Amino acid sequence: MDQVFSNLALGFGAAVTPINLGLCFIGALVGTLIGVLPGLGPIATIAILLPITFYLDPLGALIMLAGIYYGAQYGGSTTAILVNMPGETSSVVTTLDGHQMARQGRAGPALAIAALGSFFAGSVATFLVALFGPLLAGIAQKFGPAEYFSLMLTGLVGATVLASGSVVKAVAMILVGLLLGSVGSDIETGEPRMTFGIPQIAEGINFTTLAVGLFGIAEILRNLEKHAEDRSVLGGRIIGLMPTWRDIKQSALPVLRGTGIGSVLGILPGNGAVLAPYASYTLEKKLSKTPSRFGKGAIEGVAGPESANNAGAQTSFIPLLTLGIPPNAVMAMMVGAMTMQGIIPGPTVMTENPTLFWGMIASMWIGNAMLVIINLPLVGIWVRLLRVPYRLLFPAILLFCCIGVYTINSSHVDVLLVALFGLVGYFLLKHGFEPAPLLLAFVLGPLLEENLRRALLIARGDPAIFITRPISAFLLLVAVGLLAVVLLPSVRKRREEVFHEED
Amino acid sequence: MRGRSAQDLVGGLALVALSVLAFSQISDLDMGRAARMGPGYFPTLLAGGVGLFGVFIAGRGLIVAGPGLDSWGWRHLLPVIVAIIFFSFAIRPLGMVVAGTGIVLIGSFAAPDLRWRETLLFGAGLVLFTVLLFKVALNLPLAIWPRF
Amino acid sequence: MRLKTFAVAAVALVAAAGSAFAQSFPSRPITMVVPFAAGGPTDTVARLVAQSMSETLGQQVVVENVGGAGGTLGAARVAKADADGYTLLLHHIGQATSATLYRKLPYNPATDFAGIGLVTDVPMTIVAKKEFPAKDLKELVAYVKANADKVTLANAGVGAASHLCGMLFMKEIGTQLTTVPYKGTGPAMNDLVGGQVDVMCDQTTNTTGQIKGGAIKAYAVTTPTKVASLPDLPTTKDAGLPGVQVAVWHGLYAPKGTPADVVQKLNGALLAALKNNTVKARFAELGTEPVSADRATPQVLDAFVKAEIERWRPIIQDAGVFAD
Repeated sequence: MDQVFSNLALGFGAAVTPINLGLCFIGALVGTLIGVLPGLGPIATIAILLPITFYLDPLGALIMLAGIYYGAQYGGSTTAILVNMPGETSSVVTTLDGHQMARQGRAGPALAIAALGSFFAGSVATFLVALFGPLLAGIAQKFGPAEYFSLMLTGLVGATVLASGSVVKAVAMILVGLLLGSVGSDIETGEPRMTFGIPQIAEGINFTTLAVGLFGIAEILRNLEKHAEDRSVLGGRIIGLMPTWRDIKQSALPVLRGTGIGSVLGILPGNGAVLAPYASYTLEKKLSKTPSRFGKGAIEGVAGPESANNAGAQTSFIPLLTLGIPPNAVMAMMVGAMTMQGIIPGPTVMTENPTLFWGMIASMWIGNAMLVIINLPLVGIWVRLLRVPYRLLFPAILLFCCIGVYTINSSHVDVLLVALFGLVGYFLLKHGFEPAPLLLAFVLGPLLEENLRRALLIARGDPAIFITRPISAFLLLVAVGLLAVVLLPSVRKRREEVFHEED
Repeated sequence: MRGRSAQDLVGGLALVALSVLAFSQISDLDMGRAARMGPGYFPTLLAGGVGLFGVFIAGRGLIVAGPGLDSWGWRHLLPVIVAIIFFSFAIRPLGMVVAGTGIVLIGSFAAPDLRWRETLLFGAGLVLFTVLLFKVALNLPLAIWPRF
Repeated sequence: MRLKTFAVAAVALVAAAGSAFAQSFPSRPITMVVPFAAGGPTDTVARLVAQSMSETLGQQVVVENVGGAGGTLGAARVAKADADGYTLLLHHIGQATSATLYRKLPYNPATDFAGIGLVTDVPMTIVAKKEFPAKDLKELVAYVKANADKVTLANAGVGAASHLCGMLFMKEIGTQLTTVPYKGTGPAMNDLVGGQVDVMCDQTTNTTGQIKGGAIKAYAVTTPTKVASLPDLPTTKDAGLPGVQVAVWHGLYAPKGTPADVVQKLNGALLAALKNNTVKARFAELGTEPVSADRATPQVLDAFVKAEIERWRPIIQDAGVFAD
């Protein structure tokens, strides 16, 4: 324990200089400002801002990057809440209740609780990283392809809970998401699958492209349509900027639980953090006495997942820093930035360069603190943005989306796909399908297939591997349990409906 | 068991169409076996699943009562989609100013309460802002003006 | 800007001084296309080189990431760009292997580019999980041959350096192993460290940290000389597998038809970058070093691309893999 505190002291000693604090502040501010533009998710934001860190010393650069990283992530959540446009996988869940809150004039409390919950989760997770980092990384190594397959399967079953409507349609959306996720070259043979001969999607469909089209553009279309009838969809009513005492009481436990879930899943090097917000949402919806409020602006549905997301983002530095393995695209970008600074993440960073290692961990916490300092005052400004007449707001959103998507790969095909997925999203809306399960399945699909095939390759085709390995078997049991929990109420409901009709 | 849902019927048929489209793309891929899956195994399974659910949902739409078809707001839909398509083809050869102005102007046709003067002013400011932000401040490799 | 270039070019014509264009070059920012996403190893190399070249040329060299289709989309864009030296490509060994991996390539890697120079050779290492029984490369080969049905060989996906090296390794030892593909090096390394897979051959960029940290066992480096950052590691030649010679080489290209004096000027800036101490230091941390000045020339790169295409063609064809 003493060791932990002396390590943290070393880290904070290195990180807390006026210059470094300034760099972190600028990073978080710029990250937020760019990340809040619709269509510019954390990946695009970090890629755009990476070059400005080149000229700094390694620790300064990493601290600024941490600021950019948290800023970009929080900026993404802000866009999710305000204009229903998730910038990355994790903020898909935030759109469900966060944007509904915004529609009810409660964007302020949603943004504030997201910032506060994230800060709490980030603080706890930073401490966990310092305390157990190396130890936890060792345990996470027990996760092989079989375990990941079972974990992803569990996540997929949980995805049905994201839907507030028909379970059958939710499952159909999951299948469509998996199908879209399998577009692109086959992992083993490299053969293109369902690419229609278009080289730009030879490596698969871009997440941002799909999310911007399915959520963002479809949302614009829906708003325009409603707007024609009723002009007060977004602008106008704003009920309070800060959460009420009741909001905070409702959010406290979800934040705690979200922190726990996120911390655990983030440690898994195979991008376990991706599941964290979904798992938290599922849990809160199941625990809630009034699950019917979810999807209609329940503050727990923002507080829990946002905390889980940030805790996961924090602990996913554990595999990165201790094993040198980036669990996802954003982390891979951080590795790139570190290598550029001459730090190759790996088991040796901690021992060979302790100042840097602990300085980085300290900077995580500082980055989180900056985020709250910057964003609580900004909440008022963001909310006021919604007062801009929609006839001006939506062309601006369109423009930023297109630039954002274009900058990722300088590909005009990606922009065209945004138009296509916008149409698809509109179709889904019109036919009672919900896009959230589709998007989650799209992300999990490739992981599911890869790990399934890898596990079978390693086991020489023996499927018993999934039940003979204890962690995998346990996860499969969880999946079966979850399936029962999901299916039973809908079966019961169906029977009640039938009874009602017969009455 | 009376009434039907056109919404479900069309939704289900769309899934069936998607499934057919997917099958047309994966038919020549090697399936492999469950123990040693080829490139076609997983997509075939999924395309089949999507098709089955499509049939189920469409069938349910024929039997069980539910919401009817919602009309499509083409008046809003077309300008937005055309604006994005314009941007995608304009951004590389014509640069940010033309592509940006185009997407704002074309997209604005979708607004039910459009005021041209306001939109023109706002659009000009917006394009200037994006040029300053992305090109001047962030130095992204985007062209400002058309290339000749 | 354009007008100025045009005016300068016109004046140059009148003066009939062929080198006037090169003297005015560059008059505006240069785009260096990296055919992969930002943050990857190739992007890192490109940004380091671009930063130094900007200083030498007095104009910004902006890195543009045009990812997709194994690097062929970015390469295609440069192949079709104006041959004026303002659009460059920084690509790795994939420039040569794509000629065989892709049957429908919209450009010819051997003839559609004007090489500016080789940039760096990143050596590869043959590594295994830390519980692996073999003590040295000879034992490894013997063990792998004896247990061909049990040993698994990881790679980072079709066309990746680890995939190429793996194919070469299996060809040289004359034994087929179960290859376990991953999407990218990260997850592959994760499972190697976790002991889920047995053997891999990957770039020093990815393996050095893990080797030094004792998380994996290293057997040999695949270049003719040892690597400074891993002084105890023998070369494949010394360790008894001389046929396994691979390096992930990086080259800088302009489109075919770029004026010779512009290429010369760019080459000068590249050479300066390769002598730059910051670049050298960062390269060293990546487990590599800039190529020697005599290899960083247009002639060497052009010839090298052709040689590498021919070298990898039979290996890739024998393995029967295609990426399109």
